Amino acid sequence: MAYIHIENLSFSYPTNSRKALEGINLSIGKGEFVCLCGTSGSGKTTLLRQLKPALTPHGRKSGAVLIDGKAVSEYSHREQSSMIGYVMQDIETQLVTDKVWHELAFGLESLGCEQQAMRLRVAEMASYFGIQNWFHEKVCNLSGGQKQLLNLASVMAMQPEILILDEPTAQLDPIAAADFITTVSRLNRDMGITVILSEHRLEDVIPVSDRVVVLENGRKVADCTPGDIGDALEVVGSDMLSALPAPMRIWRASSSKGKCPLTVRDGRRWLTDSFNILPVNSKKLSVYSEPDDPIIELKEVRVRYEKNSADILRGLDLAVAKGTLHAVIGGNGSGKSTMLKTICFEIKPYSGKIFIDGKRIEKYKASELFGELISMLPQNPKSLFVKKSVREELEEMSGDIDAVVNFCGLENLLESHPYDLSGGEQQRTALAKVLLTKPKILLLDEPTKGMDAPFKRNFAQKLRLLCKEGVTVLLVSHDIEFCASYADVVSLLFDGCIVSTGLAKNFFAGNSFYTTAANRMSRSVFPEAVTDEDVVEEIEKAKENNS
Amino acid sequence: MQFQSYHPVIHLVYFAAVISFGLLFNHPCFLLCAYVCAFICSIRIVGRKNVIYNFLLLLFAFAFTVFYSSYTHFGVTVLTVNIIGNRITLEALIRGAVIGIKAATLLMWFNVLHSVMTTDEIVYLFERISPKLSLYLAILLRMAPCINEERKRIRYARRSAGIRQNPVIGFLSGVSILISWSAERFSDSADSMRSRGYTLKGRTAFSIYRFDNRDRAIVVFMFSLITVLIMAMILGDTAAIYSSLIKVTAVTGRKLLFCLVFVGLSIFPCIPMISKSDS
Repeated sequence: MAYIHIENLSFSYPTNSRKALEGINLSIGKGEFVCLCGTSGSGKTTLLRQLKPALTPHGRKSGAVLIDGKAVSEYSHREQSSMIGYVMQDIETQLVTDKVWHELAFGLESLGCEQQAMRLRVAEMASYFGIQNWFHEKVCNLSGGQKQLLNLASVMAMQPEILILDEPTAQLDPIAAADFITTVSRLNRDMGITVILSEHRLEDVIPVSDRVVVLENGRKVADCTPGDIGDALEVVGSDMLSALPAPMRIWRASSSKGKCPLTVRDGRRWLTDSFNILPVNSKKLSVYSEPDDPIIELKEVRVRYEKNSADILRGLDLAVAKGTLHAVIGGNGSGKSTMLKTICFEIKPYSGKIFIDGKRIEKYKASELFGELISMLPQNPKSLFVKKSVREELEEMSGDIDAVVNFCGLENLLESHPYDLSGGEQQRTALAKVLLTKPKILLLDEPTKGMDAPFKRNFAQKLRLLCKEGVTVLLVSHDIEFCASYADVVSLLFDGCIVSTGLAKNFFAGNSFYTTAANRMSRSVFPEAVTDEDVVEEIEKAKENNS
Repeated sequence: MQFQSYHPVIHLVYFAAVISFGLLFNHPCFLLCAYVCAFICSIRIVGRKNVIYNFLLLLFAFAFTVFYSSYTHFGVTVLTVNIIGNRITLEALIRGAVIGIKAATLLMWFNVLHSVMTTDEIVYLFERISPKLSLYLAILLRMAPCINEERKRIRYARRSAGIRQNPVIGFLSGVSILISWSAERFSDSADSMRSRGYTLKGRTAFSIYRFDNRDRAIVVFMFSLITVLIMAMILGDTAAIYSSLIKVTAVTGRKLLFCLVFVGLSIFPCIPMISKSDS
């Protein structure tokens, strides 16, 4: 008998006649690790919330959700509070109290535990998750990864049997996201906790999950082991194919036979086994040269926030050519956001010069600099919205609204409240707003955070179109795959300096750790292939040579 | 610092005692003791830099004395007559000085209190009244900095996206969006609270503090000294009258003993530090 049993579940929201879930059948065994994926708006959250009565939205529901042979709604609030743990997507809002220790104890306080019992449980959790060193910290001083880990730990303190995670890594940088997934998988292995995790970034999740379930438009379209998921998706022609980990995508695109590799390790073995190491056809790739007439130029810029603190930017040099898509990548705390703030003149460097379009930034008036020359899309698009509808948001700006609406595909959203839109829709609205100022330079701060794979591609195409029109795009990101596929020039920012700059292809082909999964997997065979397409192309060539 | 590690209840009792005694005691002996103790504690506990702040307070007390004596003219001992023909009396001068010193002492105590009592301790003390109340306080303490952060983020985002507007309208729309933002945020937090059983009956409160034997000993010690000092008040040893006529009782042996007790109570947070540096 399955532990969690969902039978013919359908659900629709009161305001929407379309069914958010339709005829879902799903059984999950005790201790299974299930990965639930699908594009945004496919019903992942709706389905997960059906498993936690305290969070189930109002609406029309048919079918049954059974846990351990009993309908979920029959469990008392007390039972389901401790039995079903739920970690949500938004890192910030889940944290209720001001201190780490208080947050850890929150659930136990609700259950009315004795002081001594709470002490033990809180100590256990803090030790297991490695929280002891920041146990007395204020929540607002933690990093994103620490915050989400705290969310997980404070749910685990109630000792749940089932752990539900709704896109827990959407707002984390890749390293923190991988760490988080590792912790969840450790919980599953060490404690035998049943894990249901929804995700659209599948690189880290697929290798550790037992099963992958794919939702599309409220229906289950695939339910199988990670190895077979590619085939299953192909049968239904799903968009999610592009979200699979790079080794799986490449394996599929090259129509190979045998066992599908899930990780870079497997992919690498597959490539080295199937293809002889070719002599490197050292055709000279075009070399990057500093632009003669850069539109943004930073010369030995030094920035610090306080008089006695360390420098955040330590003599940063950067030159961005007109009409290019220039990406600056770097880990957390390397100074990426500070660099953007400097270019926006939000922070004044204490030494060094900044030239925008050939003129010192100090010489511009604020009204000249912003709106006509520079415009920035903030990391969180919500920060831009102040009005009650998308139309009003756009009308706040001047310019040709219809063209922009068309460009960003907002036709059907004009009357919605900006806060009611999905993440991707908000991003598009914010982009429209920013484009209405007709900037020559567009700055983007972590634009791909929380985007699913199909939307990312769509977004990149929009950026490319803008570049063609002569707009210069400078983006900072930790999304290596995105930068490798779509940027013209890439710079690596580390410790407040630009360490190296190069054309995207050369740049990543030269790195061995800080590079795309496709490159890591294929570097011993095809050292110059960076993106999936490159690898597939090389494979095709190699096949022809062999035959 | 050892005093910081004591149980919040001890901090509460200590500060309640020194602050209320600082207000109630009028006798110059006690005023002097209170001032000196507050001075020492603020330097020992808050930090050396506080010397400057304390001297500024002294300056303020002096200024207040001058101000008070030139605007109030009660008393019989005329020292001099100022340019507009008002009498400057010794009584008014002394009363002004007493008020100034008292205020300086209190401000120093509040300074010490501010550095010793963390928000954690205040949340804990509220917990003793009601677990729910302390939770609300903790939620408030989390929300306030977040809202401020968001305000800054919105300002930066709008400025660098090139949105220009009238500052007044900008401010108003900023306030309105912060309200929607907080409401939205709170509904998400409410989900998180509900899923962790917030609405269940019988909430308890977790505390990071433990009341151990050391704390018990200190409570006994403090209360015995407080009792002695209340006795001193009842016996009238701490009182003095400054308005219209100055009436200060003579310094007796008993009074000195009470003073010593008062100093003992006020200064004890600094003592462990001294013994530590000796060893």
